[in-house]
Amino acid sequence: MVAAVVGEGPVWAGYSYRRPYAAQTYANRERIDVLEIVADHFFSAGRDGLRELDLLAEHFILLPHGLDLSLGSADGLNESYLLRFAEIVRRSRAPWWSEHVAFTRAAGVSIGHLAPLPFTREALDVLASNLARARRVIGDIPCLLENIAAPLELAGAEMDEANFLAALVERTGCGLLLDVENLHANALNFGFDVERYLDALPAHAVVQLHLAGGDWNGATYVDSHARAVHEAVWRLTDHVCARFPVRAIVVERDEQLPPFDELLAEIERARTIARGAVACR
Amino acid sequence: MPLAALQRALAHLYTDEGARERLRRDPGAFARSLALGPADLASVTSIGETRLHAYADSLDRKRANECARALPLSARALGPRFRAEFLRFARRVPLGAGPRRYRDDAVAFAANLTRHCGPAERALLAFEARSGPGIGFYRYCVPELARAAARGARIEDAEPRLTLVLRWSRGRCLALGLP
Repeated sequence: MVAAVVGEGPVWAGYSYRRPYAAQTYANRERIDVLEIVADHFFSAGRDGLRELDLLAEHFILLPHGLDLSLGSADGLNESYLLRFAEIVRRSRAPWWSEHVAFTRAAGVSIGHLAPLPFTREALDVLASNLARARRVIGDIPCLLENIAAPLELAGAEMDEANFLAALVERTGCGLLLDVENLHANALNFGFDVERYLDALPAHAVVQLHLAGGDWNGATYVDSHARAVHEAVWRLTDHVCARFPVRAIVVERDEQLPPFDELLAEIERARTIARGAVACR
Repeated sequence: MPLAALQRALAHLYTDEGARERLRRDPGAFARSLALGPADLASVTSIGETRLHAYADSLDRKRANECARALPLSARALGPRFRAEFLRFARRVPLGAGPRRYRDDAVAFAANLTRHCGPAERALLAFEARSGPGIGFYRYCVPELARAAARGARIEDAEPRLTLVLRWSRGRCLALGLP
């Protein structure tokens, strides 16, 4: 079902665009199939930001990614954010856009980051309703929903995360952006079985992957995006690509930006894994 | 709606030290004040104090990082004082909403911080906190302060010089030293 929504096509590898890498990004554009852009980074950049976005769209396939649409908010969506987000998606000429399965605000309080939802039927209703509203504004562009790195678990869940995501896919027709690093972090911190998690996801749901590297803070593994992708995450990526018809892999790095060559090497490794999996299919 | 009440309680707990203290002291009163049912209160208390505080701290650190990204030269010029002052500010002032929330947060912090720093640092903060086109008078040659901060040099030793700055975008400006 999801493959039909996103369509068949080549497998892309790229990274989540950061301005300090702008010059190297253009200089190496033959080695970058796709750029994910964080829509929020362009909201406050004014006309210069929009010009930058237009230029990027001329040279790269762009995948707009939201951080604060707060699809899980029971209060509904922030219309001002939604309109700006829709403008970025349209300007990007994107094959799809993505957001998180999370909430970032409630009753006028902005949390400032992705907070986990309780995995309940009521949360599913809220997500489906907010997503329907977002799609009315953004238009007929496929949407992918991403699993977050959960800082904590909420008691009272009616299902586990994987079954929650499967129900969401069935209910909304969205695809999934599987953040392999987040899955790895949650499995380490909350001790669940990754194989069972993957078993629960619908066969054609996983369209895009995120890869990143994290740090240990005491006994907790933190999805810091400040390190190179760990070997355990590469192994898991290999496994996920063999199981799902992944169309794109995006490497994320937010802190302690490395020399660009290191990022290019990670993009190349991701491309090799994804295309190798296609060849074996 | 129970989910709305639960999210309201969680948002307060994640971002407000006072709310965490109220929950710790009297969970029943905390639940009543936010119209939280017994199941939702159980969900909230099951998080545990340690995890709740750890998450709240991580949110403050993230907010500080975003502010430093919005005011990179001031962050560099002030060094560790920037983060320490920001964390004090974040405890008192909640993060706003909307697409420009981090930029607005940085501007509010800069306005607040000017009361606690030297004149050259104050000029650099005021310069960096402005983003749009406009004209401004500064007691220092702020582009020079910006270059010094980027090099990691001390800016408090700079000589005051009344300067008119014409800015037409965030990164482009013309500075005219005035007699």
